[in-house]
Amino acid sequence: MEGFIYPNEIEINWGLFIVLYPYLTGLVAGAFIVSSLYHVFGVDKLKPVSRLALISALAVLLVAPLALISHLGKPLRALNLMWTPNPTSAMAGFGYIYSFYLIIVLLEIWFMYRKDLVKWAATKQGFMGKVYSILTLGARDISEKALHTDHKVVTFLAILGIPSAAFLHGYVGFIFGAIKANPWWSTPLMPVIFLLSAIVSGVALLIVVYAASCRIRKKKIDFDCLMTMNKYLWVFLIFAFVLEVLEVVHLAYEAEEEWPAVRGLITTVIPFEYFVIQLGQMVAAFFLLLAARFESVPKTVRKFLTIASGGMILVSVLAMRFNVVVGGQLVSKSLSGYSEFHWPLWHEGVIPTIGFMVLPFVFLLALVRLLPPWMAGEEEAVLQPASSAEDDTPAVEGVWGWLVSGVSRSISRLGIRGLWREE
Amino acid sequence: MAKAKEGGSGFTRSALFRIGTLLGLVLVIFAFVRTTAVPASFGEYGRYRGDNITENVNKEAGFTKDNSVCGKCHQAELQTLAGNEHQALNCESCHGPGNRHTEQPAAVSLKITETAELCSSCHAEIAARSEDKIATVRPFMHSGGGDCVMCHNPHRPLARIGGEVQ
Repeated sequence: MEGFIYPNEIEINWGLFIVLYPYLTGLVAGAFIVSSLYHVFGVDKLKPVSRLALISALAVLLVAPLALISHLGKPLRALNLMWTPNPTSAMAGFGYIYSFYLIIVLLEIWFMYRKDLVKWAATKQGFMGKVYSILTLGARDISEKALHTDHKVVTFLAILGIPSAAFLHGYVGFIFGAIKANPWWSTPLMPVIFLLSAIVSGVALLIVVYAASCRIRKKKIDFDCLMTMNKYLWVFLIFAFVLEVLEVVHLAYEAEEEWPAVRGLITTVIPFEYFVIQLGQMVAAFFLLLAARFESVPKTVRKFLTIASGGMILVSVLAMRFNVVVGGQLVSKSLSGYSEFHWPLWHEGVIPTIGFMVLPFVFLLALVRLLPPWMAGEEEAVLQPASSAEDDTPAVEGVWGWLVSGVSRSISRLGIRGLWREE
Repeated sequence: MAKAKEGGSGFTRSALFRIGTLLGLVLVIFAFVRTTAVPASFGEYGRYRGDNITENVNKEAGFTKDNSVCGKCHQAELQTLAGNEHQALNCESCHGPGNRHTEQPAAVSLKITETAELCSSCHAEIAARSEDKIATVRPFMHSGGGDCVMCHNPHRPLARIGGEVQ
């Protein structure tokens, strides 16, 4: 605590669970958008992760409200949101917005897996066979015509899902952006900032989950797919970074009475979380992703750079949620003091928070068992290290050698071919 | 499920019909549960249960009107209280609600637990409490865990330990 604060600002009411809530919903929105890139925009290279993206989105989506409901203290009261909707409260809209989106995701998954469900129901024995049989809902028509309808429905749901995902997450940002008493939150940019960081974190999650799943299943990572995700992550990252910085630059340039308080927040209260973990990692990931796009870099390095950037982005976005949610409450409404955040261990603390971050992966594991998202035609991983027959780069004359030659060669290409071209 | 029908393609067996029915069923169940979950008087006056107001109005009053009611019997205590730090307090702030005690003084007695916790609800040092207006201490450091009434008389808080100034 420093400076002057009001008595009711001692306690930070929105703690780690509320940090998790935008983080988890963000991961959902991002993962969903990757699957939509394939289904709606026809980015075929994302095919290997199109199903995994949806399944991951569902796994995280199931956990997102748990953090919120746990925060309530009296969990059953959450249902009052549903029983007595309040059209004039943005926060009270969560129940309906979330449920609508959940239904869309479930429907899309069902239609996408319908053909497989019917097959599994017919071939699997025992308990699982029964489960699949129930999951087909008795609709066992997998004639060409029926599958064509399925495909149309999936496309329709994917199209409907994009604005829904954007709405779900933009809405989370809106809740913060609409709190006019808080200078660190109150900006109409907030929904857009949240949405873009959501997409970024979702793509990053998918990169990491895909890489991990390939490693666990001993399959080869589809390099084109990874690089396509790299490209989208990179582009969205630029927008996310620009907007996040723009908000602060705008506050600084306007220099209204709240700016000194915000400046104090980011320079003295949360400088490490903000400048290093949040922004620093974004910048670092930007360069690493860019480096991974150079063809002259060995493929294994490009893979590693992309996956590592994914991990960095996941941490960076988590820090961003923390800096927004908790940071905003640290600034006193008096604008001349800062409260202090204590890291609780149990009650809305670090341990249950870690639990909620692990839980989506437990769900994902269960869902993957139930609805395997793997695509046919995957290559088995070659487990011989660094035979590098696939790398057409000459023997590396030290790290510096390939860095210099790679960068110079690729830069010369940039102007002509552009980064957008899918090689 | 008849095996012969598997793979059939009637309208009622189509995927859209099945999932649509399921979704409709969920909505119907939701609507039904909602009618039972929302109290009848919800929204009567505003976004809350209207009966709540009636229920509160009809509740038995726990507290008395003010200290004058207590003073009818406990004049000595009220006089002790006069002129010192706690004079502005309501008796029931520490002693608890006493309306039933005033109705049946012999049958219902007021029990007070004279622990440091009770005093700490006002006198513990917290950031929200101005030291200028109220004497605050860190209870455990101040008394070593002992109850405040070992040294202080709540009716004349500073009297027993030697006067007005400490």
